[in-house]
Amino acid sequence: MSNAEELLEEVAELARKKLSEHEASVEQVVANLEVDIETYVKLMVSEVVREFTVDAQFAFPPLQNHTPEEVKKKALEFLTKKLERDKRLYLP
Amino acid sequence: MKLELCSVDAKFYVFKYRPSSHSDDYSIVATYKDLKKAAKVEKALEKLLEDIKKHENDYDTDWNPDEARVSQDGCKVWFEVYTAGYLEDVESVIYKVAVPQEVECYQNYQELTIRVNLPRGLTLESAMLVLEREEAEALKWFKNVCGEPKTIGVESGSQTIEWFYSGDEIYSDGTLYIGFEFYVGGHENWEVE
Repeated sequence: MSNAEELLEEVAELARKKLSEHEASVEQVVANLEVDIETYVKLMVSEVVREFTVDAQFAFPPLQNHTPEEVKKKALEFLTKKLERDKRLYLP
Repeated sequence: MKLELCSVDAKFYVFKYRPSSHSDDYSIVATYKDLKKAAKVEKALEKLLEDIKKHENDYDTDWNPDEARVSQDGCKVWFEVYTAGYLEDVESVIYKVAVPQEVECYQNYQELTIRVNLPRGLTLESAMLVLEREEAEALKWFKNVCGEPKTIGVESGSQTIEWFYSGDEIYSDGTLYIGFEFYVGGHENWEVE
């Protein structure tokens, strides 16, 4: 597994952890959807991972223009933004 | 083009396509198990458009929500917009509100009727053998993509077969782009509308 792939694995794990910290919000959102929590979490994590696929590749030499830590920080901020979006869209 | 989740690892998934450098008319068609689910997704997509207007900075899009179109046709939900592929938030709604049975994505969606006049009694398979190579390849392409054609007219010496095509743009300025360029105007027995 390449460095970028390993970083994306870490990002995915961080995203899952962050979502578990917001379990109550996730449950409220999912209650208004036709998918289960597992599917919702998987889709949220996929959104984050997809968004940072390119950034992950640019976090290591020879292309390095930012650090893996910066990628992880930005990924968590992105996740928070998407969770807020989902609350606006799906909560009554 | 099928828009499916592509597994890159057992633990997470990524969508197949990303924004490109040029824009096209995208049509996403999501099919759901029942009308209720489709209606719920349609409503959520409408809400997404409103939310993009209110929280513009929270979205990474290159399109105006006023220019996007959402509609429901039975169990199918359509989302159409001119974009370079900035559709992540749309996909998110399509997959999260309910599990779709199928999601298809078209660039410059076209619906075409293709009619070909063949000598009477000649089967499609025989026609592929006896007609010139380019024409035979075109018949083969439509058979593979659209299935068996309908025979819509039989006259004394000829018969007309017809296909209905829907999908990505393949026809422009009298030419079919079907893996090769097939100039319809150069074949009197072909008609595309």
